[in-house]
Amino acid sequence: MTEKRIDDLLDALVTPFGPRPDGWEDVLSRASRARRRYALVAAAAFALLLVPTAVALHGEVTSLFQGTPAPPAVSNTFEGGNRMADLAAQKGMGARFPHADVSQAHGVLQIQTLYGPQDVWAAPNDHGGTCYFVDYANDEPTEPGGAQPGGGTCDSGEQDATINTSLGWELAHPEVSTLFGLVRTQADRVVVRLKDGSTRTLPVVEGAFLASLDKGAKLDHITAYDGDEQVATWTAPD
Amino acid sequence: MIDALEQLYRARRPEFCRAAAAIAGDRALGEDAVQEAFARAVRKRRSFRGRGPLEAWVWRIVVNAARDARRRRPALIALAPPTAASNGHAPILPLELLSDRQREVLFLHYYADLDYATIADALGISAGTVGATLSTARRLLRQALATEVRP
Repeated sequence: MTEKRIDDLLDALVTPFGPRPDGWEDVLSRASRARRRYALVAAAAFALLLVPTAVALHGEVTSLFQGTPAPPAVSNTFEGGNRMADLAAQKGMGARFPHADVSQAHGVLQIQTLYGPQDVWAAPNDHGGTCYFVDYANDEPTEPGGAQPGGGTCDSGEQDATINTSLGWELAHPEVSTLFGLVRTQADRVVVRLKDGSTRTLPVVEGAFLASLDKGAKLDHITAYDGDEQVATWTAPD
Repeated sequence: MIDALEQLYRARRPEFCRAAAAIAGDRALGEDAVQEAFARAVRKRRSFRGRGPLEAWVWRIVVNAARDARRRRPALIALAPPTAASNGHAPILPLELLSDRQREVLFLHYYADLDYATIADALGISAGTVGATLSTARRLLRQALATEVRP
């Protein structure tokens, strides 16, 4: 009798849930929102992963991409970043996080990778710098009219003759690592030297460079040039 | 993989919600925890290595989300007025007598009808511990209800 009473009380404690027709769509929407949130947190914090791993450079830069107007999904991503900046301001973080001028979002670089084209998009921001977004062109938004998957960062436009670089890989594209970097001074190319002694020269467009690398290779150092002049260097930590 | 998650969601959502609501201590928070947990599973689907059943992996995510929801639950600022049953006695399950683990095992077993192995996977304990914990939980509740003073 007492066992049945326990069961009756458990039944009364939480009554059964009914169906929710839009439940799965809500799940997908949340998954998509979180993906955007992660990308934007990274952008806001300027926290590019500094992972000294993989490299063996697949990508070839394709021309005629610079200046391409951003497609709606990429613009949506930049707009999502602006909403995050607004939210940060509401949370008392002031105007620390920049807003991108989405109307000026445009293509900067495109390379060919194992997973198809990979792009860098950029939009000027209200801190005097630029917000960047890196994506695989063949990845689709997880919902119609949604944002483009990818990652990004914003800088303040400060020209301190340094190189900021990140090297990391994504679960969705596990066979390659993406090398993305910014040269914070006028430069037209970088020379990337790998731990195995090989080198690769990459163009710098609007301050950014991009390469798709084999997993397992490691960065040794990067040197930026403007014409014949060496203008910045970056060395991998030991 | 997403198809399998969707199939699991559509087939078992009421059970996920019921157990999560019990763990979270709030119906709405539990339902929200399930939505968040499945969204997390969608995002992290490539980290599922297939070492055990997909459902157990998802249950682990749901339980963690429900625990998080319980921790975030706002403290009660006022008690709701008592709603006595017709005999003047409002029956209450004395869950405060149970530990967190005992409650979780009880909820997963009762509301989701999970077997011991799946509960063990979800909670990160052994199947033997599940059985012993469930037995202890129900014994404590039995004892409490048997000694209850009725008006």
